[in-house]
Amino acid sequence: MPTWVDCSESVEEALARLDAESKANAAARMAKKAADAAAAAAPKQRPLSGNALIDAMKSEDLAKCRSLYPERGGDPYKPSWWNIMFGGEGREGLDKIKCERNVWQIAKKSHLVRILLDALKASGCEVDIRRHISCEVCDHSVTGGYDPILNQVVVCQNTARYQGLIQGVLTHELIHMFDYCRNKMDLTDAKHLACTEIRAANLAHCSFLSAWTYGSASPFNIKQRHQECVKQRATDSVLAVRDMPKEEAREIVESVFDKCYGDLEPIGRRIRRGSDDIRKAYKERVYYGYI
Amino acid sequence: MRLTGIFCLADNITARETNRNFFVETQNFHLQTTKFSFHCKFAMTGSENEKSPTEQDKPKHLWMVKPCEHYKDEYSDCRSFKARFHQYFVAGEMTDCSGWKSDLDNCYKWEGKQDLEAANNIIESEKGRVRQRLQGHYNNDIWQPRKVPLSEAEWKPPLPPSIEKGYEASFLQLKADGIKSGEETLGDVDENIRTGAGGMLDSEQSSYCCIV
Repeated sequence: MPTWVDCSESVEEALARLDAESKANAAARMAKKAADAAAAAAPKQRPLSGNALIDAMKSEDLAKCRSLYPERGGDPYKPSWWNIMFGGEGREGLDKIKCERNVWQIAKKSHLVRILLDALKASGCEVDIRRHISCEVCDHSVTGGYDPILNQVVVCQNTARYQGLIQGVLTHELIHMFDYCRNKMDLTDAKHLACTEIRAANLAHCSFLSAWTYGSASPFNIKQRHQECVKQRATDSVLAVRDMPKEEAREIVESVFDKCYGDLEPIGRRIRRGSDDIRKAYKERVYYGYI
Repeated sequence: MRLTGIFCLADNITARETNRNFFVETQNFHLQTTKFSFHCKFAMTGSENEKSPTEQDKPKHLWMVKPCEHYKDEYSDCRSFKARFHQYFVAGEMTDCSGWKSDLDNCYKWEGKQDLEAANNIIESEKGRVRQRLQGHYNNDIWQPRKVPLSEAEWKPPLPPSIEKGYEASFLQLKADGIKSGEETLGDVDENIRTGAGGMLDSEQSSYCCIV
């Protein structure tokens, strides 16, 4: 719950009513879940983390994650002689320093990332810039990631080389971290994964131009295409780390879309590129307790 | 003309509630660049008003009333072509901007004539916005919210020794140690942008005028 500096009765009444409604929904869901779990295996007591999460993940999904983020196992990436000669590789040490320097610059100068850092700190999860952010070599298909096992944001030093791109990566992944901090998010549950990806796509991506290049919108197809962009991005993000058919991923995204699309915390608005929205969101953060 | 603008801003800060100083100060630099003479005029009018409400009359949540520049900005932005396009792209229809207009009018009344009813109207409007924003958040019951913050072990699980060893002499380790010892700080974002070490971020608006 965001800390509220000064509550009034009318706001409290409205929030109490919403809270009661959401509790009623949650209670109904819990009852259904308990009934299902009683018939099946024993239900999970708390969200998994660490080794338990590794054990619970399917081996195909783990293998997929490890192929995308080869340095997550702890061994540094070793480029082949061919890639060194012709692939522009071989300077991983320098790339890492540049990436870390960019991350530091972004943390100092980006309003959007600072909203998230402040929101995490206010929620009791202060980000340690060394412990929670890692610059690594990744597969060329990704620019970043969130590792729920070690609770780290991964910034890909070989694909995210520019500050604009790194800002987008950090915003996206810190939203996942925020969801983990504030909620009992269990990423073995595909619905939780879909929800956090919907929120990240909603808040950090999907401007009109971005949707156009992604194929979700065009100058002849504008009306409400933001939602389609978010759904497509979320589906692709789910498929990147889960081994499942595309239709199934899309179905899961559709099933949780309405609720997750409306949840705009901690930024509070869908940023429009080229506008003053980021600064406005940054100034508004104090009103919601994200100091 | 510009010096007059700066003095007016200084007057404006003292004329307002002290508990709103932080909001005015964070906006200081922004306000200095855009229409500060307009801002100045209203500050002086406010301080000349003889019928200021007493402490008891003032609404409890007066801190929710933002400077009129904010409402003017939001109103003109809401009606701009780019914003209309974005509204159509996201929601499939144009947003009703009359809320910002009424807030702007009420803000002028409050700052100009200390009209308490106008201030209350703005406060109710702001509460509505808060309600609308948080409603989406509380309606998201896909997951359960945590009632207890994460423990240290959950927030910082132990890293494999190979990864830790790699971090020992890294740039971010240097900065993290600096933050712990107090030598380094992330600092204020606007200040960092203004002093501009390392150049501007391409995704941020960087155009502003310097008063000096």
